[in-house]
Amino acid sequence: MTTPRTARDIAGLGSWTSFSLLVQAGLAGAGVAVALSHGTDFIAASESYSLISLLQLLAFVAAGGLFLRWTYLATVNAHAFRAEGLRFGPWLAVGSYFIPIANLVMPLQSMRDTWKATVEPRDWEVVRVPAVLGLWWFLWLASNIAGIAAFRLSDAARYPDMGELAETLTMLSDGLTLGSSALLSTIVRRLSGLQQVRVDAIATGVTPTRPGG
Amino acid sequence: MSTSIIDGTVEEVVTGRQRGSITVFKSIRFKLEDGSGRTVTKAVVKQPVSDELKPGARGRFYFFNAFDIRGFHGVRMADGRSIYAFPTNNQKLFLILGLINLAWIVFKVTVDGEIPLLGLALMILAVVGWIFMGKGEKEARQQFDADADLSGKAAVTGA
Repeated sequence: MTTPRTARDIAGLGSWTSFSLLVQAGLAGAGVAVALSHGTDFIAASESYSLISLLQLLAFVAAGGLFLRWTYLATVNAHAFRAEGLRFGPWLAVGSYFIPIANLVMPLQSMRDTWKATVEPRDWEVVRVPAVLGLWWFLWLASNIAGIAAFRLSDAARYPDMGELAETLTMLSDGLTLGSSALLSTIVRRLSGLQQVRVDAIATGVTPTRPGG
Repeated sequence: MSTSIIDGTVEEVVTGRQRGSITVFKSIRFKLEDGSGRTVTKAVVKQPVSDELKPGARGRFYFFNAFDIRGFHGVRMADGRSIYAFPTNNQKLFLILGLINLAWIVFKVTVDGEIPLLGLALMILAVVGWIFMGKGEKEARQQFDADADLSGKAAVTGA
């Protein structure tokens, strides 16, 4: 048997996480804009792009930390809503992003389960999740694949003629990051809102009703 | 890893693929004793527990979650029958995957002097999966045994 958990406020953390993801999306968009305006060789020759890359790294660390904390809390709440049979505990939900191979599917499964358990804890498995979750995950994987390919191809000693392709993939990765971060920001904001309604209802002793979602 | 109990009656069963003694149910719909309903999807169940999951079956159903699989590992029927069977297939698969990749890594390090990243990733996955599956099985067994007062000692038919 699992230990019963207590539902915790998530609105504040959700707002910060959502905001940080929007910042990340904005920086990715700025990266694409600078790359397009500079033309070829923007990675090596554009100071603006170098600065944006640094800011992107900082934003990624900040948003990543907030998002993992939010993931932990959202999963704690899903359990606290008395949803039974959830596949992921809070630590596995966070850890799923770091388990090789499994991190291609498990984070999405975890997010879907948390969404379902928030909407209808009693019979959560029949709840349909919005398509935006699948789209977010597709863009996230695609941006990572494009980014890794661009990073590898930017090794001029090993791939001397691939500089242009590396830049194209870098721009593509930024564009996909813009989309995935913006969508994740929306998901975090909506799910935080749905959870906070239940948290407040539990705190006031009102039987939670099924919220829209 | 978690376990839980469903007290109620099986209303509807949609069977998915079957391989050996393992059945993957697309969905199992229960009517709970308080009148509400609950659906469990993608449930992995081993025989003979799977044989009991038919519409109309009433009793206590023991549910588990272990890493990447979930399903039922035990039932105590209203007529007093008690059955336990945990599907261990995935744990064996993780063990085999881990050993194969360990051998591959040792081979590559010995011959080429470098660690294959894919092999390392798969071995980490296998180790994590094997540990979680083993933990899940242990918890499932403990849950089922601890609840034995309901209808006497369980007839253990698989583990």
